[in-house]
Amino acid sequence: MPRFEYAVEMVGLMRQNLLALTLGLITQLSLASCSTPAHVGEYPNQQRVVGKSKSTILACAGAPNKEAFDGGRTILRYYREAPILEESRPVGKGSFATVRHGCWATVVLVDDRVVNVQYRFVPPTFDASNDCEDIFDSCP
Amino acid sequence: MISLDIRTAMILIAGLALGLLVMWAPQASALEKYGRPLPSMGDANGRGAEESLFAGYLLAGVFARNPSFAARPDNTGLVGLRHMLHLETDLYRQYLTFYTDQNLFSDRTNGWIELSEWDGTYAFTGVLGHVNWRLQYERDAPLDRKGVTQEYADGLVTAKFQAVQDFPWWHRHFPHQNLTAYAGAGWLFHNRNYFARPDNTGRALFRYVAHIDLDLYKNKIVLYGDVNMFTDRDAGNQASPTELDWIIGLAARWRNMELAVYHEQDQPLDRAGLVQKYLALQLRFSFDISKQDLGIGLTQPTAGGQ
Repeated sequence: MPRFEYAVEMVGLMRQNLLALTLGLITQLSLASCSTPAHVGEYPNQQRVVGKSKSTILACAGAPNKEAFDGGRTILRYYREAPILEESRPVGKGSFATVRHGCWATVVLVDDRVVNVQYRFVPPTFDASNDCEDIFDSCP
Repeated sequence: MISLDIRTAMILIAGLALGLLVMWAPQASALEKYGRPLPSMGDANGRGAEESLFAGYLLAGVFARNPSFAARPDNTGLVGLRHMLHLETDLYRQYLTFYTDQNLFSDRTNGWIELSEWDGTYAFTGVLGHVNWRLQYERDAPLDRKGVTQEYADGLVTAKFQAVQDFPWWHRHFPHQNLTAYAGAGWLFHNRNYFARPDNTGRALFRYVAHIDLDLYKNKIVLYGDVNMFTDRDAGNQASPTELDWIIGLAARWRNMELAVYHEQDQPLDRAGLVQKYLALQLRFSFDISKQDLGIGLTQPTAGGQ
């Protein structure tokens, strides 16, 4: 086989394998990302409401979606769905819609004082901390 | 055409298998911060009654400066006004959503008011982690006269990046800002007169998309850019882009409204030809009807322990 044709064939083979490797890597990263929940950290508004009374929380965050009493604890649950204007944007002559997402904030009160606030993203793989933070944005 | 030999196929399968292993690896359960678990209050991973039943927005736009953006699919006229309705509903959580866009355009060379084009899109979309997929059908038709109708159906896969989530340091430095982006590729598996260049030549085969949203302040002020490229199925290289559509815009949001100013330019890439461009102002009003709003799935306050 002439040297030039051999070189062309080798380059072609390398490119094909590179493509396969790239596809494999993308597949792997994609699948890995599917199974990884977004990290729930600590956030300014979340920390600020700790120690506040129930009446203060109701005044600044409004009525909760759900309320429960568990032993000596009062539990308030708030949910905020991200506005659709964030999730769907008109582009060209149509639009591009991304996932609808939101965040649950669970406020735990003991003796009328907030002792803990937990955030949970929906879906868990999408960091929606800004939505939970918005719930307490008006809190002192 | 790409042909796969056994070695290539094995590399692909190995990559897939590794991905599946990562996906189904045992995951540690989260520890309850205060030792005692919280009482169950509905679906642990869902939105319950708060889930949106359907949502959408109305859009009104004026093409403030439009030297060349056509008002009909046959490239006649110049767009004056744009009206749009977007409607979407989750069929199964975030995994399967249906949406439709109905776009109406008027011709500024024909009195601004009478509608000249109607573009309808119907799509299914969903998300798996960072990967978003879409199956869409679009039909663009003239309204005020007979002419070319363009239609296609495509499949599109994009990968999403969110700085606040993917860069651990981002939140510390920019607590009120975010950067989101997606990019991907699509295949127009059905194409009837959907052209590959702004001058209505060629037939589109693949599309490459990229989008970026720079949230400047709490999702109230957003700078965004969008790129959409098409390839020509009749060209020598079917994967090489022949058209580039790009948009840059700035949006300000307040409650359920958004005012945006943006510029779009559609240009050929592989030869000289018609460039369509405009500067527009648009207003969007959103609406969102949840199950709770209609009294579906409401639960009473609970008392007592587990």
